[in-house]
Amino acid sequence: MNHASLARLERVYHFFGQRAESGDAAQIPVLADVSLEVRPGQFVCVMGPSGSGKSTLLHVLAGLTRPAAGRVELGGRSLGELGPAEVTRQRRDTVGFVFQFFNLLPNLSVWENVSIPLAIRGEPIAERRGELEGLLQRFGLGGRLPALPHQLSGGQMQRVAVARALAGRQPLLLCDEPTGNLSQENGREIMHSLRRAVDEDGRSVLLVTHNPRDAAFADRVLFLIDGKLDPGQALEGPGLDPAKVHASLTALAI
Amino acid sequence: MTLATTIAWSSLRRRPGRALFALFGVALGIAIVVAIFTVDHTTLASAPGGAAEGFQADLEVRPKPGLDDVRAALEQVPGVIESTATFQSDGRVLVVGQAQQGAPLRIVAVELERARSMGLFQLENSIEPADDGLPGVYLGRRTAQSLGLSAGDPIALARPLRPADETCVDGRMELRSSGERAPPWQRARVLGILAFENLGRTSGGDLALVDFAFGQRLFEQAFVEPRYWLARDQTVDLERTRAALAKDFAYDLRAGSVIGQQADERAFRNGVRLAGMMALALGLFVIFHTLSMSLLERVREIGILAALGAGRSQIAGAFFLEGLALAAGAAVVGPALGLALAKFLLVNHVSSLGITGRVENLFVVPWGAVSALSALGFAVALLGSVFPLLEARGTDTVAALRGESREAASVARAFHLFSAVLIIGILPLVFFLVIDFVGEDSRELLGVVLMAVGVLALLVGTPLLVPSVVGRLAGLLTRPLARRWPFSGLLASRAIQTGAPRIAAAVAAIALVAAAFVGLRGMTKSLWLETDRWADEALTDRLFVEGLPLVAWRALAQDLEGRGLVRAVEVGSQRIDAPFRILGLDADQLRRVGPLAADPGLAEAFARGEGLLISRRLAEQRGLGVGDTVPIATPGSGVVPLAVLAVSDQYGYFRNPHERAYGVISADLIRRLFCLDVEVAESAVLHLAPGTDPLLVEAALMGHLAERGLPGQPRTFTGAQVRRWELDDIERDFLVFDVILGLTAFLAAVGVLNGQLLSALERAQELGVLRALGASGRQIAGSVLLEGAVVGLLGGGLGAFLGQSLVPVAVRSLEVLSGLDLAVPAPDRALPAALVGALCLALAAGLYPIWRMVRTDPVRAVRGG
Repeated sequence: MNHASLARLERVYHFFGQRAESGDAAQIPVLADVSLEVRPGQFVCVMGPSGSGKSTLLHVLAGLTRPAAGRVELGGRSLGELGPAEVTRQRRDTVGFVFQFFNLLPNLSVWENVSIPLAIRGEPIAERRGELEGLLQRFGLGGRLPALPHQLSGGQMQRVAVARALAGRQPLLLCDEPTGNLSQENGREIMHSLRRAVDEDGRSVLLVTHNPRDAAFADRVLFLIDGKLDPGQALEGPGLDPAKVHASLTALAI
Repeated sequence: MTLATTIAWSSLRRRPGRALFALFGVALGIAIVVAIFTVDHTTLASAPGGAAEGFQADLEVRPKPGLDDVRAALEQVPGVIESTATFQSDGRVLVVGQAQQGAPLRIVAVELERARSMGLFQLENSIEPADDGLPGVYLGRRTAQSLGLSAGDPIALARPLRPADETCVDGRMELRSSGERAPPWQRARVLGILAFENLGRTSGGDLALVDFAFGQRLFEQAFVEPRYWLARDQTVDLERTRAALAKDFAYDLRAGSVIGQQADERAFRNGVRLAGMMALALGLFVIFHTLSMSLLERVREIGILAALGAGRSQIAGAFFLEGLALAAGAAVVGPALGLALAKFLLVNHVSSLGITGRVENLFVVPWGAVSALSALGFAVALLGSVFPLLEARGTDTVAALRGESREAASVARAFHLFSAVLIIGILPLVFFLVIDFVGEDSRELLGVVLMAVGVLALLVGTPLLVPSVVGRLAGLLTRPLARRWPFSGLLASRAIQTGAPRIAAAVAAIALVAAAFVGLRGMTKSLWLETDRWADEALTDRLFVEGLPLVAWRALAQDLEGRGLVRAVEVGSQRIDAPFRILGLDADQLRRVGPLAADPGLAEAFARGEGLLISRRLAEQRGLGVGDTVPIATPGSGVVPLAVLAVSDQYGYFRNPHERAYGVISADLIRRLFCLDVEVAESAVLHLAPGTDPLLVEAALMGHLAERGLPGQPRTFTGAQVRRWELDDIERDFLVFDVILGLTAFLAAVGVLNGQLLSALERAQELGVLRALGASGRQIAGSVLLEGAVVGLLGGGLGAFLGQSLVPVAVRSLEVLSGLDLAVPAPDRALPAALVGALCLALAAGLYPIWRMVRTDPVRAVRGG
């Protein structure tokens, strides 16, 4: 076990529609012999076409789904050796999530959504009020604290989601197509904030996307094709050319 | 704030409408039962006590002549837990050491220890008996104050010199001189002063309470007829006690002591309580439905929280807190609403004995029952939040994040199974443990329990067992409507298909109310028919006259008969309660009509005073038939047994006071036994010749009085009028049920409304897309109304069928409980009324969801996330 890794997948298999322990070889593999590592301060991107298993990879890594086979480490601990409650705690302490469809809690205001990770951990919010307000200010949401999600634009909702992920101070951010429902400009804004989180705050990011422009922000781009991840085909960044990323993806997908 | 409080509070705050309806559903259910029990408690508390300055035992009996062992006979009577022999008479008291003649007072002799255990007297102060051999006496407050006596003082008591004793002997009041010397004084010691309660009120507090043995010594040479006062076990059915007493005793039951305990009253009160439990169950069903169906809407929320690292206990805690807040709110609002409702009902003269059981200026709250019912509603409502809590713990996070949820049907099935256990099993069990039903632990109670559970089973069984059947029936009903409104019909049929369990639950709630309505109407109709049948015998061709100026009725009768207007006259000035109402009527008049006209032998026996005629109601109440013997207590002749000669309602009914349980003896016999004047009348019942116009009779009556210069304006009422009033009384008596039914219908509507609101929320995105594609608000509204129409028709139809099927059962139960002879009525307007009412209710319940759906921003709906 490599303690320098924040998150690690070792020879993971997962099948479509199966329960964790069955692993029937005749079923369609969503993940086939996938190995992956994210180190501290690293921005890793996994690219693949729609339906390639990218979201499943994130779910397995976050402990939301148990793989059919293989080893999953999160925060230095093997999830296979932990019970459900411990997995949840490990996820809570290690991972911040950003979803494609924002997934804000509809009945909570902007302020309440952003501070929910603290409430989950039972941390007093008052001690970090200034920090959270500053974070929201940075995202241009300083004047929208009492607003409900349905009162926000798509871009604003995703910025709240990113702020929520950052507010928890977890070392690893898992981002599932965070710009998928945004305009180009809003999407770029989100990606810049993720890049800042790595460069300025020392976080790690694992991004799954099919958008080459988003992938170009990463330090390392891996390609998930037909459930397989080939590290040999990875592109090393930062500062990758989106056109090159797109070309690689296209070539591998055909 | 913790995660649970943040989530719960924001959910309640941001969805106030849903929270309000869920809270209101439970609160209304609690309010109805609280109101019922408060009204019932106040009704019982309104029972008149003893006279202001006198005392009347709840149950006083006199043994028939020849009964040797009275005590042994009393011990065999069910429901009698204690008895004391007693008699009372005038006497005199002397303060020892003071020169005086002696002051008059009332001497009451009882078996002191028994009387004390029965609570017949209370003491303001007392001392222990001294060893001086003097018998102890308790003095009334007024006697003690006027003579300056207190505990420990020596006194002397004596009976008065017997005056010429006035007794009714063979129709004449006779004076019997005693011819005795002054009776001796007997010394005694004052052991205490009686409180001015119960026995202490006798003669306004001018009394001496002595032990029975001492009293017998005091009145050694005088005849004093002993009686017995009984303490009754209230849980034993009154009818059993009465039936057992009637064999060997004449008894007098103080009306106020048994209010609400007679069989028909018990049936009424139990029925009201049962209706209350139905309402509570329906209210709880509403909150179950709301809390549980809302789970489907919030599955994604659960997934997000789990993905963010919230533990299942934390998530479940949020649902639990939300349920706790709603249940607590209902537990506070419900009783307050219930007490307000009870006050409103009582102010409008609606009691648990119907509207004729008036309660004036009284409001007594049974805080024990109110607290218990509120706690029960709170606990079961809270348990209802356990289901979504369990579901929340079991939700698959990834599926939830994708917006997938367990198939709605399987969630609904689990919910209904859970609520079935709660509503059929736990709620009735706890309800019956907490609240006492009226009457003995017997068949009637078991019948009530079985009926209650059966109806509850309908409520939860239908959606659980046959949601698909209900869904298919609903689909069939939608088709013809969809032909007229294609697009709305399409939306409605899709909503019905995908929400079959929800539709079935709504149908069950509506059916419950419809069945209750039809069943109640059936019961009311059976009572109506019974009264109508009685009226045929007792009121047809009658004219009731009241307020006559003490006219010599024979002359009046002769005058009216001479004009061919009247066949017979009953005069109503002679009536005695011994132990039931007894009227003395002229035998010659009675032999012209009814059974006595048909049987001359019977008429002769009646005229000779060989027996009595009894009304059908009295016969039912006491289980009497022709040939049975009834002991009649008389002032001068002791207890006189009379045989029942016939059972008929043709004679003896007088409008004021209304009493259907009575006996009729000949006027000659009542004069002989009770020395009552039989020649003048204040009121009369005229048997009219068939086809006679009552106005003619009234005119002739007034003419007769005017000719003789008799003052006053007597009032007349035709038999048809009295029949109408009696039949209307039945409707008024059942008003309390109508009130409960109305509130329960409102609850059912809230349940239907909640279901449609949740359906709208589930389908918000779908509806948003349709609106974006050009569907109008009117078309969407039409689909909701169509769905409501289907629910109403199905629920009303099922309920009407079920209710009509239950009518024979309900009537039979009422028959057994009340002792009345009831017929099962044929189906009538109640059936279509139930159907139409259910339809209107379901349509009305859709109005608010329509308003919400039409207001929803389609853009927001399609955006999702």
